[in-house]
Amino acid sequence: MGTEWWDVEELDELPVLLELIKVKKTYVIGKRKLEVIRDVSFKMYDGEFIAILGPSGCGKSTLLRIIAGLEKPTSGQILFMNKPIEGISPRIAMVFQSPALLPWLTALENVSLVLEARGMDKKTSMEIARRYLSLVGLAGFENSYPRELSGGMKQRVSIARALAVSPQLLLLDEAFSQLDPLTAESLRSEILDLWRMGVAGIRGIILVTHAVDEAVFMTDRIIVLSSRPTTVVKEVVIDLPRPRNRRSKRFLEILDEVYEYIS
Amino acid sequence: MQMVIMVSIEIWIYAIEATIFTNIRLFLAYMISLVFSLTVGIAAALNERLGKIIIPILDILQSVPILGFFPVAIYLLVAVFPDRIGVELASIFLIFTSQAWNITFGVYQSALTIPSEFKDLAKAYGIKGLKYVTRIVIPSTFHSLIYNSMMAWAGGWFFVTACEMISMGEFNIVLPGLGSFILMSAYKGDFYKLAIGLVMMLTSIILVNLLIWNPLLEKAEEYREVARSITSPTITVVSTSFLIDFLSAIYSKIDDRLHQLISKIPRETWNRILSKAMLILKMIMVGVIIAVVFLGVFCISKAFPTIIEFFFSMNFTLYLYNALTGTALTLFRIIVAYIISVGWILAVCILVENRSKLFAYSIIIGEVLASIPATIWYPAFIILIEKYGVDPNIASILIILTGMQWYIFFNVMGGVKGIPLHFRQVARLYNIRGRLYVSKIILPGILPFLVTGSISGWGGAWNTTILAEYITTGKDVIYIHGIGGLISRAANLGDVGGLFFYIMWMSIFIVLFNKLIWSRLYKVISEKYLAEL
Repeated sequence: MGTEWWDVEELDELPVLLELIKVKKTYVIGKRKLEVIRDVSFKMYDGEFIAILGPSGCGKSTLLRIIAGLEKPTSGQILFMNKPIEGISPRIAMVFQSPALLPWLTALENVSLVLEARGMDKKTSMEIARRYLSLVGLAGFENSYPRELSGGMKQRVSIARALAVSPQLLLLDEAFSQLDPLTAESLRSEILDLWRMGVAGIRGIILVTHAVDEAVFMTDRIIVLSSRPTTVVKEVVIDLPRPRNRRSKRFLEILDEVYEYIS
Repeated sequence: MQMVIMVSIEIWIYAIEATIFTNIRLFLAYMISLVFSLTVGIAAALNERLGKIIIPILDILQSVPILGFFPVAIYLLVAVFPDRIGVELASIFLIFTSQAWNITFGVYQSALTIPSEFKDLAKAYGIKGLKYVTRIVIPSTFHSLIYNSMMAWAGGWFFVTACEMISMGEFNIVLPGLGSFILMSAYKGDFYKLAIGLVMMLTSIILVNLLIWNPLLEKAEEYREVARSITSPTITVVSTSFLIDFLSAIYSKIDDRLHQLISKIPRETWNRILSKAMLILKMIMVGVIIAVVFLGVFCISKAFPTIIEFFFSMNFTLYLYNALTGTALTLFRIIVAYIISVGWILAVCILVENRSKLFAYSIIIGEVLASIPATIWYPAFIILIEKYGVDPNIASILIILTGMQWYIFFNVMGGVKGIPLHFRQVARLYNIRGRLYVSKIILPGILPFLVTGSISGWGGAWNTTILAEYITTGKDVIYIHGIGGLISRAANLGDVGGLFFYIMWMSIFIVLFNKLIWSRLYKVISEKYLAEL
């Protein structure tokens, strides 16, 4: 099946969507300094779905928050479509580890809120929100409150919310880690379907995870990070066609390879 | 026979009228408190610079004995407005001061501690400005807002009686209302009317509770998604979801209109309006400060000789001696009342903490009892003291108790409900029971709330001493030596110098006492015991 094998040099020819250059992050707590990210640089190409993989507490979520503009790096630069990111970009959306749904708003209102926040009028934003809710399989649950939804459904609302703002880059921060294995699995395939269908004009996805299997199953390339203070250990390209078979020989080989870098 | 029935119907109609008047007063004061606490609390939480100014001021306002300042407020407002309106305004102002600080602190605290995931959400999706306030901050503070409003409403009843019958020297005024109705009946010994008054009061308290606070609290519980040990602590007798629908419809209408209004204005114009408004606000502030300074200088220079004369005529040694001995005695009474309060409240708390029905009922009962104003016991105490020779100290301590215990009660009950579910599960799993369960799980869980409640309770107690050490029904007066009694007596005898001296003394003493003891205790306890929820 080597037809889709691209090596790293060849990838360099593609337009770059996102580039991290020597990103560092050090927290100062009182007099103590905590170095979380020592030096991370990588490129992400247009149309790529990558994973940032690392052991628990290695600062990978911090890295994602920096990309999202929620936090500032201590030093280094982040280029999005060749322009430095300053603060929050409206073209980047994020799905958090917990669904972060407001308990006082319905599913529909939770989604439409972010559209209204971008200056859209109420009626249009409701319409768009409804469309995205049905896209993630929640038609009929528009008027349910978060407490009436299961964990998987809540995370779906959160995904609908991220898609609704038509981002060009979608960030998934351990988006499946708080779900039960079955729900997580079906949500994974749904994300992959949405990605393949090219919904909402997304040009790239970054998945932060500590589950090696998840990263190999879903993404085109894995950036393996070391434990704190974080540096890039290795980039692994996953040359498997989709849908992927978890039991194929090549899958297991890649899995072993990644496990070696991570431990 | 027919005559009697006629009269009693008239009494009932009069009592209903009085109830409506009092409720309107409470409602107006509460509305002002609500607007005040939302704006001030949220502003203080969202703007660090503002918070640094607002919070210390509120801290002092909260600990100052409001009842002591009431005569001052009346003097001022009656001087400006015609009699009745002035007194009405003063009474609404007094109720407001008894409610606002607590609610504001609650709003401030919960606006400060908005879950970080909601803050991230707002940041990541650019939800800011007014939208951030109306969709994220206000709903986040909703639970604390409702819980504190419940307490404030009960506290309002406590104070409303104190301001419906005012006698200061020759100045006597009775406002039509349930408070004055009850007190007059009590003073006259008309037990039939007293009973009617009490029934009306209890009915309106219970109705407001069942129809308004309980449904709102239930809604508020839903807004807090954290797993709670007792899932449904409220009792719904009447379904009032229409009320909630109505209120939330109004809320979103106002919200929408505001946004429409703002979105119609182009950004540039909006910025220009904002900067203009800020400039005007600054100019007004500077103007006010200059005016106040000028006025102050003018008044002082004009009244300087009188002030000097007045100052020298004040009998400082007597005042100081009175204040010192009075404060010591009052402090002793408050400590006794505090020990009694904490004792029974902990007992009740341990008894009901794991029984949700009982818990809900005890909240409602507490709510009703807390609303009964201390002053209605005056006639009973006067009879007990004068006819049966009961020690007046006991009466005084009992009245202080009524103004102290409920703050502690509601805080502790709120705290025990907040003990995380998994703590209890751990206890059940490992069979931790009896004394060990109480001392290792329940007590540490409620300790921070006990301290918070104690701070408010002590504030309430100081305030109540003004009623508790000067028991009067108009003709009979029992003065019990203490700092609160000194204030009341000075106000009643028209001793302005004494009134001024004692109020200042008490305020400074309380602020120092809070700073030196309670704040430190709270810091230590909250750092050690406040569980990560």
